[in-house]
Amino acid sequence: MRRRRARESFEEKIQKAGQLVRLAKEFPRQPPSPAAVAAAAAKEKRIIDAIRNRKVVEFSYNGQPRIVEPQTYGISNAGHPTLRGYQRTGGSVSGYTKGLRLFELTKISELRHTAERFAKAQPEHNPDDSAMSKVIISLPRPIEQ
Amino acid sequence: MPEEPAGIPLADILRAANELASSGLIKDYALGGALAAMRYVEPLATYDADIFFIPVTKDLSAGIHDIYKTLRARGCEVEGDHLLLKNFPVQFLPAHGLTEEAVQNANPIEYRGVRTKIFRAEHIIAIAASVRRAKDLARINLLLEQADIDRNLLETILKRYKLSLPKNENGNATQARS
Repeated sequence: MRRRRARESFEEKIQKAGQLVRLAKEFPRQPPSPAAVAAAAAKEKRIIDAIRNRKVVEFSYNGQPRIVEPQTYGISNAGHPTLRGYQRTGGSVSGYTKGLRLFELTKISELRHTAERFAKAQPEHNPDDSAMSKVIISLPRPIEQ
Repeated sequence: MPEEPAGIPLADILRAANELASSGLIKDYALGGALAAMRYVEPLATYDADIFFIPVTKDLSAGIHDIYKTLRARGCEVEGDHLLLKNFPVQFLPAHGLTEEAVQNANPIEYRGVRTKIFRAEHIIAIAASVRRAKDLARINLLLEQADIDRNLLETILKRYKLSLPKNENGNATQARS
């Protein structure tokens, strides 16, 4: 059976893999433990505080340390609590180390504020972030600061 | 060409990579990782697409900033280390050594009308043997079990890069089926 499936056309297999991806995303998950909920709330609070006070944050993401200027926090179009931040430095598998990017809250670990603050949002920052279905907090546009 | 089925927008990803190649931002590329493995084995769930490219420049940046800049200008978002193309994560990874050889020797295919190249099974196994995470070891086993492997080629690649296949539960090196 498995060998037969291995002989299907590449296009059919990609279609089936797409169905698997959708199923995995839609499958009802076990509710998080109270400790996990509390940890996520603490992380969210720290991010909101960092945006409000323009604090540079440091965290691990995909196993790589990052130094980030947080710009916007909200719910992404995919429905996940997400930070939009400007990554100043930090590891990256691709080698693309600097720039504005999205970070899903659940994948952020070891989050802490650094002693450093930043003056204003990045020039390309947009408080009406098109990647977010709901913006919880965002820096003003750089021109308004 | 009919609309690509929802799930994995592979044709769009390959079109974007072809555009990068035709605009001279990359020299060449091929599809690697789990999606490439799927050409040879049964379908499996994967959450990203790996595009290995041969950079135009040999410096450390490998032109990655220009690639991301171009794709962001076309509406791609960056999430962590991935570009999101129609909300599907894609990684553009500079190829060197074994992965560069894999790009150069990749099989040309056509996917939904898009011409592209895809890693050979032997190179996918060798790359997995060099990385050796749990998912790589599982991928090696799947490929050895289900794909038609050129054993001589696989052994040559493994030898050239001083790699070995993981040992099975009996302590012997995993073998491709004959």
